[in-house]
Amino acid sequence: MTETPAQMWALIALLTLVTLLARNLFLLLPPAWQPRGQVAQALRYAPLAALLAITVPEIVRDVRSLPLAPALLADPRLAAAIVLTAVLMLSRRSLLALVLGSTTFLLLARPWQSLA
Amino acid sequence: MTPRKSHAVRRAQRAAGARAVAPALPGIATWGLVTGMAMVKVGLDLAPALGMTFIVYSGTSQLAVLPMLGGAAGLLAMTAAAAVANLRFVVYSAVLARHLRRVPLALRIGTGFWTIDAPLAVLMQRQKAGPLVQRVAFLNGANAIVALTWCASSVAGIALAAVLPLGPEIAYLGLLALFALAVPLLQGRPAWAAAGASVAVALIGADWPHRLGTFAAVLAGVAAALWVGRSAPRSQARPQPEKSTP
Repeated sequence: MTETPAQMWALIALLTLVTLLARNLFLLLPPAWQPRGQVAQALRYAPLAALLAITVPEIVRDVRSLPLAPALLADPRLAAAIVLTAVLMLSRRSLLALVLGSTTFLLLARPWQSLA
Repeated sequence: MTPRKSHAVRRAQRAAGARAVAPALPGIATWGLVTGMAMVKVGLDLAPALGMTFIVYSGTSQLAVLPMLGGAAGLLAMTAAAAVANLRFVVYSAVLARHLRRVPLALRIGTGFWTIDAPLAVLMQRQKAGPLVQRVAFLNGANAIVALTWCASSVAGIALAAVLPLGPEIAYLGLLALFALAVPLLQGRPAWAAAGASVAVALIGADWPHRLGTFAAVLAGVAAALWVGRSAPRSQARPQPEKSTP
């Protein structure tokens, strides 16, 4: 890393500004600029869309290039997500689903072995 | 309502918000831990690493610039990369605006600044379940416990970077927790349309720079929900008439 301390703190200030602005943009715009009607109704699905857009490409990261095959289910990422979804839909208990999904991933992927 | 009574309602809603977001906390802690460790691994000193955690308070911004540190990119290029990575929060602010429109400016800006994915997702879940009571207290109850979890786990990651035997793969556990937040939101035709469009665009744009694929996917998801909502009967398009209680 080559940045000086002064540059680092300038970067922290700039990042704070950018984050603050992004998260507040519509909160600062006048009422006339706010989305309304059906657009406002549709916007409530934005968090769902964002959560899936962040997670699904990572879930299928290692299987995107493979052809469909039973071996797909052995992929740790996909198997964990399937277990999690199944438990969540059957039991509606998110903590239980998360524990079982995470355990599936850890048992199949053994991430601690890739270290050393 | 008497001031005393409304105070009690607010406190109850703050607690309800904290409870509602609890399932997301293990995932947020995993992300915080990984982000803290990543900052130390690229060579950040203690003070800037803590500054990033407590002042910037944005895993998205932090993880956007970390790979660029020490390279040829200048401050402005790094800031621009973070700005693009943050575009989904602009959409979030449009979602929040209708919930915060009667709130005083300072509280509005503060609430906007620390409302991240998980608290907003539980607010949307709560909105699906019925009319919202003291929604700002509910949201900020969720925000407070999320901020506490994020900062504490980031500090733990910074402190333990040298000794924790964890690889980058462990970050996947944080992603799983975010995914678990999305599943209960999948109810009704507009939600499934938003999900389908978002996933399709996200997969196409998975390798686009600066998380542009994520932003395009959010826009596609909202557009799909809008389209399906329009063609559906009005009662389906608006499952919940909104109350204006702040």
